[in-house]
Amino acid sequence: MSFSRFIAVSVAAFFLLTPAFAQDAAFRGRVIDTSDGLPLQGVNVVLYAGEALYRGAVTDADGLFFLSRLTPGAYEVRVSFIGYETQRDTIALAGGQVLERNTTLSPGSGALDEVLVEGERSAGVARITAGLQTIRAEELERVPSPDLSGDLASYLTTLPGVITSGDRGGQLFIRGGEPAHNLVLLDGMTIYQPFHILGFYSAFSADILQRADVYAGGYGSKYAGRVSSVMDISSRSGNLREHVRSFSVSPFVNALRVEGPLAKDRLSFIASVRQSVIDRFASTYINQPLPYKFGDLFGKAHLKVSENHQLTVTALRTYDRGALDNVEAVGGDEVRWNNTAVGGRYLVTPRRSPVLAEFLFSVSQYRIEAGPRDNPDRFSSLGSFNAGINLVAYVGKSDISYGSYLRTTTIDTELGGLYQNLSLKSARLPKLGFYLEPNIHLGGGWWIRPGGTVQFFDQFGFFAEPRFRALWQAGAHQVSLAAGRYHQELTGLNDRRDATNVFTAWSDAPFGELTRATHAIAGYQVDVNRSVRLAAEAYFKDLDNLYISEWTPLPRFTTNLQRADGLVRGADFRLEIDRPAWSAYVTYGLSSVTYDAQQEELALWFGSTTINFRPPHDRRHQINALVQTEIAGFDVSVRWNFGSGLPFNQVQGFDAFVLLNGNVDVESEAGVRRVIYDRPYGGVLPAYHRLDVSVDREIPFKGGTFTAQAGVLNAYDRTNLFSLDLFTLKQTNQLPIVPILGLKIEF
Amino acid sequence: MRTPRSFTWLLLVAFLSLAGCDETVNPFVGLEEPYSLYGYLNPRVSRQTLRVIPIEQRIDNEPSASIDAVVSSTHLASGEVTTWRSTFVQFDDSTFGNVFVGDFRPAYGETYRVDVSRSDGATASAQVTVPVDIRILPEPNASPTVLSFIVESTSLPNIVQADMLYDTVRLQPLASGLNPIRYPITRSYRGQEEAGDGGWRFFIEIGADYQFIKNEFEAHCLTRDWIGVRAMRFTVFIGDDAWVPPGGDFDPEVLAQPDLFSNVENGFGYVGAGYPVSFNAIQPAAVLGAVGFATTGPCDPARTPLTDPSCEVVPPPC
Repeated sequence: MSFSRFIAVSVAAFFLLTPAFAQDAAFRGRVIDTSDGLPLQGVNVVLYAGEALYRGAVTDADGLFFLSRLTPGAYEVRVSFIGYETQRDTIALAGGQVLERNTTLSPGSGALDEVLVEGERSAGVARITAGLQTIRAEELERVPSPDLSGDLASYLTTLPGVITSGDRGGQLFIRGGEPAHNLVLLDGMTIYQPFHILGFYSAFSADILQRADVYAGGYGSKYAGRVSSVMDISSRSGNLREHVRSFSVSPFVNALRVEGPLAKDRLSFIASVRQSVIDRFASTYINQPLPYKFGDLFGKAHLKVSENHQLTVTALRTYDRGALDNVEAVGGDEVRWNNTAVGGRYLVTPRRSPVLAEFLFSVSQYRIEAGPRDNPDRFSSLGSFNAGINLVAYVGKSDISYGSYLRTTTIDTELGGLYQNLSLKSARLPKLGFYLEPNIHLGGGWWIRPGGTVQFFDQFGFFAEPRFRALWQAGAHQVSLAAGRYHQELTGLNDRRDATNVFTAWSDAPFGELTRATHAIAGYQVDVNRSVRLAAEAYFKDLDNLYISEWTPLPRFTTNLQRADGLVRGADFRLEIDRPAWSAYVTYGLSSVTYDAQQEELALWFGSTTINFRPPHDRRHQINALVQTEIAGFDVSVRWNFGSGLPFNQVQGFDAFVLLNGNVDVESEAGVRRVIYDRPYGGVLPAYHRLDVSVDREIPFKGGTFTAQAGVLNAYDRTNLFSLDLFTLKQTNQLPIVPILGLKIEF
Repeated sequence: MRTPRSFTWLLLVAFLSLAGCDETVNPFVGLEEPYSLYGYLNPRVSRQTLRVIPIEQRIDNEPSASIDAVVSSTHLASGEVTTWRSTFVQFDDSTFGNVFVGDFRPAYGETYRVDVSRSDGATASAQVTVPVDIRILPEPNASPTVLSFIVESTSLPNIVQADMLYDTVRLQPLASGLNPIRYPITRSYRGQEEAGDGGWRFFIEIGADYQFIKNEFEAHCLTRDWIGVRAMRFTVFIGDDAWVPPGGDFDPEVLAQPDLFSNVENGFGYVGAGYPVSFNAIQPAAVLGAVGFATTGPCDPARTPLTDPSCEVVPPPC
């Protein structure tokens, strides 16, 4: 079947799936915050028949709730959310009626009447459901960081299973996968490298973040095209009621945000700009150069077209540049990258149909360059266009999610001869996909989400990917399961022989086979009491057709590309305590990542052509402990982070190699310098640990608040290694003890 | 349970105690092998050379004229030991290194052991048997433009290298305004030997070699016209039986892997035994002309001595 005919048949079949439900009653609406006119997520909406709880729902990211297949009759509605006054109302439903009622909640001292945890919509470090961690903006502020507002990058590093290259580089390895295996979406737009070169920062500060759903694995049918993780990030919309401005300064980054209504309760905007300044102050501030420049620019417009139609348009621009090694060298090599993305989302909740429809379109561009500052000799660029439809049909206590997308990605890469056995040229990858995922309430506390996604590539053919997620909840106990099969047509090639190398060359499958993975996750969570929560989760990933650099003893830039397979096994343990006066969490991650690669030349060297090794991101043990409390009116956060040592290539020695291929005059022929490596990644670097402390004080004034922050990163000045140059023995360390200061005014 | 404030202070005190626990990183696992050795025993000369490279823990260590190494060779049959002398040489790339010289002539078919010892007793050794003597003889041409050579010996020796060198020159007409260019081009015939009575045979197809040469000229941005030949030399390098690269090719990418191609005990590299033998194979103008070579013009051998400096112009960069 040709690609174009497949599209035509698929589109026709797709619309036949749109359900029609007629006879039962339904009740739906939106919950809005009166202070800014924006939707509230996570609000409990409960129907009572007399004193008995009949049905309930939790509002989604758009503040929407939907209850279908309701028995006609009269009900009391209670709408409650922590920190807001509970609203009560009565409704009467007739057969076949779809009653729409919107509610506004005002901030107050209200507590939840009853906690409803529905499906996978909940937040907190210990609220993890089969790999899914939901993060809200207020949680970002808990982590001590140089960003007064809080940033998703800093928060992610507190999660078990998330490994970074340290405080620089912007590389995130999630449960054994490589950075190129992560899918990052902002309001449905693909952002290829959103993490800044200084590791505390990303494109997602708390000022613009509404919610981040981070799937460390086992993600559902809606997501495709990556084999390790998904970060589905929703940004805030601008305040619909009043204008708000904030400005913050610190020795690291300055930021400005403005938002407000263009038409009250109808059209709003939000814009944010952040710019690094650390390169100017680092030498005096921390007595060490940090030649990094980065920044981001974000904008969003939100239009309520009508009660049932909403349109948002989002745009993001980021840039980064700097040298990760040899920072003192002037005019040396550096890496730089930028992202540009623009997208729109149109949300429809038809009056007479229990369906929610979301139309997405976006364009994303990404470019990375590396090499001499004035003339980079390597670059890789990606450009993608995406158009998609996501629908949710509510059927009683269950719902069905399904959708389709058309995506095309253009790749252009120049490697400067990095991989001698690889010649990359421009490529264009069109892709059509469908997914179907019913969320079925089986009763007895069980929810299951069997589903699948189908991808059709013009070049690679047809792939069907089964997915499964399940949840069992009984009182305080929750068991969650997930499994799935994943393919990735875009391959990110990174020469990890050099820890400071963050240049990723993008390609379609280099040797014609897509990278693929199989995931399995099982988790358990228990609310010990109202304050204490425990969670444990075990996971497994089988990764095939990974692409890595061959080992070569010749210390030079070029190498060959070879295939490897990976195996990831691990478990996370989390304890979270939420008391009125203080909160804390401790997490422990245990993980094992191993790669198998074939290289014939290794046979005589190591005794086997198949080499099994730990890749450089295999951190076996990881601990994070965070305590937050208030002392004398100051918010104090203390975080301790520990990671066991990462593997690295040890060396047996250096000599030279002379090619003795006949009549060679050894008095004329110098040969080439050579590295006699030990078994690949056979060494282990020292453990990493660091203590960070921050103290904030918020001082309200008429019309606004003033916030001052002080603190220290790496409080006991631990020397944590970032990279070691085996040839020069030059050691580059992570940041030493760093005082953090910040001032923010919001009005 | 402790109050949160005292717990916070306790945490801080506990972690401050970790401040002194920095760890150093030693990337070296150490190596018992003291040296890498490169060279070969040549029975046709009375001066042997061996490159000795100490295995070190720095890649940028500059070699020193005073190297901690003593080199000796032993003729196993007689037990005769020769001590080699140390020299410090500058290579073609202007770097320096240590080459040891043995002033003796090894005998064909005999076995020798070369030992390189460090002052702490660490020793790298290699044992090698010198291949038998051969001679290259021309045989009647298989056809006017196909030369035939026999590598005559009592057994079939290991052919490490077999090259046909064409000392080509551009014999452009005077009116062209171009300068003469001298461009020696070698074509490998390794692996093309055929076993037969008396030894290995090589068949040199001059016509095919002419096409090869034209392609080389073009690849070097030189005109493919007026290519003449001042000299032709067929050379084979006979090596010891172990001098065979894994996979059959001398691919530096492959052979650079330590231990992949090595006969050195307690060390790396290769110490072989062998020698080159050449045969002057220049053909008459009629034969050269038949395959397409130019045979007249400035710098052709009939008119100009091979040492005339005006015929030594190297090709410009492409």
